[in-house]
Amino acid sequence: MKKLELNSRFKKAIKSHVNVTDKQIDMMVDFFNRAIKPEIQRNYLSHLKTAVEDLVNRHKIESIKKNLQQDPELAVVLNGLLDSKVFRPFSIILVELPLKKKSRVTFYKFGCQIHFQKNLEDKQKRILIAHELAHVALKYLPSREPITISEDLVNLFAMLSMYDKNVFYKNDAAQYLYETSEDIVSDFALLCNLPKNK
Amino acid sequence: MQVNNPEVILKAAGELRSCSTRLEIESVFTRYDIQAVEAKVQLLRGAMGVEEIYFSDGGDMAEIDSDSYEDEISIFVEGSWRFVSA
Repeated sequence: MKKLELNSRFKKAIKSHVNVTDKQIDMMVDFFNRAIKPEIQRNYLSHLKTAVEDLVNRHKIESIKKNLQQDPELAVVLNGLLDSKVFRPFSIILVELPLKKKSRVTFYKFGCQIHFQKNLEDKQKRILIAHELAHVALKYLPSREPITISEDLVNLFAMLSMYDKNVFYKNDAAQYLYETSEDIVSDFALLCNLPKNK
Repeated sequence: MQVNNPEVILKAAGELRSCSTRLEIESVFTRYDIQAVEAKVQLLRGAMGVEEIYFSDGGDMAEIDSDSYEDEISIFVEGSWRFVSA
């Protein structure tokens, strides 16, 4: 992943609204490159991962609630917790390791782990993660019609997910792009009421 | 080793859960005289509380070889399975 680098125009635009020195800007860029960017890189397909995770959690919570109907006392206590949206009975953890197999998804009682080979290219890792996320989605999410989950269906779901991502990056993401770095600062100035520095 | 004895399996799996290095894991296997790769992998999976595994190449979790053992050790030592395991 490319490192974040600011050109002098962008630095000038920032300084026109924010009271910071060049040294502070460089320090923040360095922090962003050292701490944030590697974390962003590790969170492959994070939108898709979160979407699948949220859907599975919603489904699991509904099923826990159904079972609670048999125990009204416990239901009062646990329903509050379940409605809090903080309680998540299912988590998806991505882990890269120097594995022999390319990737796998392992299910446990409270979630799953998606393991993938460390030495693959980012693009390949994303394909494998999409495949494993498809396993998770199809295992837990109720479908309108009864289906037998096969590797073919898993790959179909994964391909659709990647196609959707591709369309997003190619077309939809354009609406979030700024023409110039100064436009970014202008929007911040407008929305965060930043004064113009002299 | 009596890999068919549920009490021994439970005890070995319990000891494995407190391991955090390959060396510690392998010393449990030595102590219980567990030599077969398949038994080692099954015990590691049991200790981690694995319910099901799907491989990207369509492989079955029942197909166990020395590569499976290496992968299982790496996953165990990495440790984040503890966040989602019962």
